[in-house]
Amino acid sequence: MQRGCRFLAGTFMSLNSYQYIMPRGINAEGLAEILRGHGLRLELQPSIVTEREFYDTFDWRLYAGGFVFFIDRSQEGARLHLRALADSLNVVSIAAQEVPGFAHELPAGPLRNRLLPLVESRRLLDIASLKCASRCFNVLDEESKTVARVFIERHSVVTGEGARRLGLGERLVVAPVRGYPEALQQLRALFEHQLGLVRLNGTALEEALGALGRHPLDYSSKLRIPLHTNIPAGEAARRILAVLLDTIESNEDGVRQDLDLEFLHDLRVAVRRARSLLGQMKGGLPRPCVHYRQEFAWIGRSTGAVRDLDVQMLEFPAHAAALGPGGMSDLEPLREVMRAQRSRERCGLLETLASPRYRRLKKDWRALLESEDATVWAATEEARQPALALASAMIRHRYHKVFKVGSGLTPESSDTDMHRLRTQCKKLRYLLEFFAALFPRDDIKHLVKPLKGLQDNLGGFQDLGVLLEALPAYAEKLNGGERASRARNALGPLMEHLLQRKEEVRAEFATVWAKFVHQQHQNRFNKLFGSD
Amino acid sequence: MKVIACYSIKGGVGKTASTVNLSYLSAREGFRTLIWDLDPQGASSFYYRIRPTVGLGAAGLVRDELTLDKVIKGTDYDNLDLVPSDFSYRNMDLFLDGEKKPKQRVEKLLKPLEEVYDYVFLDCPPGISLLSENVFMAADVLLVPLIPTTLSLRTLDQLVQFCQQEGLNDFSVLPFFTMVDARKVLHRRIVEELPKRMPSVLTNHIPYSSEIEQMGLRRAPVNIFAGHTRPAHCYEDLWWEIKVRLEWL
Repeated sequence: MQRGCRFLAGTFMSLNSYQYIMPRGINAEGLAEILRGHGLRLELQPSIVTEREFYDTFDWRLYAGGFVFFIDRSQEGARLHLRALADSLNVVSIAAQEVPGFAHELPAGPLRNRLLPLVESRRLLDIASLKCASRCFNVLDEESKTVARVFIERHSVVTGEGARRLGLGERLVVAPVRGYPEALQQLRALFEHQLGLVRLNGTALEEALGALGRHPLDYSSKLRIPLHTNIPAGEAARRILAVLLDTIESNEDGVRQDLDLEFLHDLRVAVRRARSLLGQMKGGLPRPCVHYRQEFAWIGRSTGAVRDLDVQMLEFPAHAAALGPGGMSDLEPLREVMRAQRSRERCGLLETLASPRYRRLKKDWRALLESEDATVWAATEEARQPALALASAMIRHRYHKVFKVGSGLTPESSDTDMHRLRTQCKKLRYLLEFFAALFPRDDIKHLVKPLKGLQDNLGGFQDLGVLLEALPAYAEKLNGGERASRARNALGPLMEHLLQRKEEVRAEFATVWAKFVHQQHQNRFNKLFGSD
Repeated sequence: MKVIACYSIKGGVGKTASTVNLSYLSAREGFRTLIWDLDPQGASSFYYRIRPTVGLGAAGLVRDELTLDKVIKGTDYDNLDLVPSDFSYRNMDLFLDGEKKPKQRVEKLLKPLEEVYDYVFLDCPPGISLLSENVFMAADVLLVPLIPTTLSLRTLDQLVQFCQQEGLNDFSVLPFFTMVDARKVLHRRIVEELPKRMPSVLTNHIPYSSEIEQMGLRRAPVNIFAGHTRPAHCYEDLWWEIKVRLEWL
């Protein structure tokens, strides 16, 4: 199922709840009295106090998809809930004592089915802990059927290490029931027009995050850099590089703790993006940038081995499954070798992150990016020209380079030649992302799509090549014994499968390349960035 | 989305009680569940306290003047919605007969809900009619409640024959026993014998019980007001077995 399914995207059947500031001087009984006074039949539910912990991935995949995920602990036990952001109704709720680290650790069932496509391999992290005292009134019709629900909720959020509780405002929530719009209208009219209650736009989670000094979507692995069209190129570069440094720093903790694979991936991508911009802008940048480009290359090298192993281990089960039902268990010793290798490589990576050289790089780089001397990033003619002109020229140049390298490829071209094209594609993609704000959004989207298709193909080809090259070395590290022997025997068929898969991916290249060089895209490119 | 039709040629065999209880269990597990009450008596709607639809009713749905999402009502339970019946459903065959592709209307009406629900339960009226043929076209499985009596078995045979004659084999037929009274010799014998000649019969059955009769008074699924009783457990076991049989776990 795709992220943010139709059910919740608001287009088909979403049900928005309405939230208000609870008026002072009115308690639950008082409110019930008012509602009854307006002819509403009520069923009062007992008060419930729950400890509620909200979870999301580091890059807010659930929130971005329109969901909140939390565990409620009360006297009645613990339950996990997946809820639509806009609704007060559960999408899925199951009894569970603990929150799993990853969605795949959940038992098979609807919660796992929903959560897994949304969060994929990202770890679920605790984002806020709330205590929630709530009282629910069911509003009934003549059949004693619930046609709407009114909640009075009082939250407090746990802040800081000392687990201090900070009280949030009391809120009144009106949750509609599908198919009963009249009840909702009646309640809204009563609260908004007769009682004059003030609508709250944010949810309790958003209020709690605000109290913690955070806000939803405060991290995204997608680049969104606001640049106005008149910005000078040097200043634009400074802003882009500052965002990339922020990304590097915000992923460090997750890499150190090895929370999930994406922290390292995002850190590496930010490093590569920075290096790419430094390389492509060259003369338009302050002189010390030459040094920093080398330093970013060093980080790339120091972190590459772990990432390669991450990719290999992530895709390994799918490759092993292609060998048949026993494939995975036969090859398990090989995976153990990879895991051990990763542990060793990770030591080196951690040393890099803890090294004085790395700390110095970040500190000095930050100082250069935040330099108060306005001339630093405007030292050359190139840096002072409008970013729009320079970006267009760079993108144009890179597009022609991709075109030239790609057109020269034949079915007999070497892996190295394929890799050359991949590198050029990455450089082009980064430029399009860095300067996206300077061009019409839809045009950029249309250009990135076939480029992404091309990159996926080249990436898949490269990953298979790297694995094929690495496997014999892993096999040499296998111990003796029957398990290792079974793994050695399975290695041949595995390599054969990988080779075949590599050929298939290679054969698909022609199609993705044809899409990339389609005349329509070329015209769009020329229109946007000009032609030589 | 899987479509589960609770269907029998014979009336009074526990179709509605089974639809109500199984759909509730599906929703309780977190599956997005919809019941479509196709029986003009509107008993499922009644059990869930939902008043019959008024307005365009069956004619509106059949003639494309109304879509299902406009008439869906939320029940009192998470993840469980219902399309209520109304008295106009008694003329469903007449309306269907006047349309193009009259056997595919139910399937077509459900199509837009494909991504919205995991399970759709159809509570069908008894008999074999144009509406039943619509149900056969739309369903992934026919759950056939059977009272262990000779007449019930006869209608099951009629159904199987009809499906064979019409070449209807796109769905599984899963019969199961309801209202089983273990004190009756005939009930015991049929419950034991039928699975031998028809392996598709589910092994879990629903006993005759006062708790299920009370659903009409309580207007709620049996697992809500008598969750610790045997009939509630039997419905849980039956739902589990259905999912195992259909490999839906």
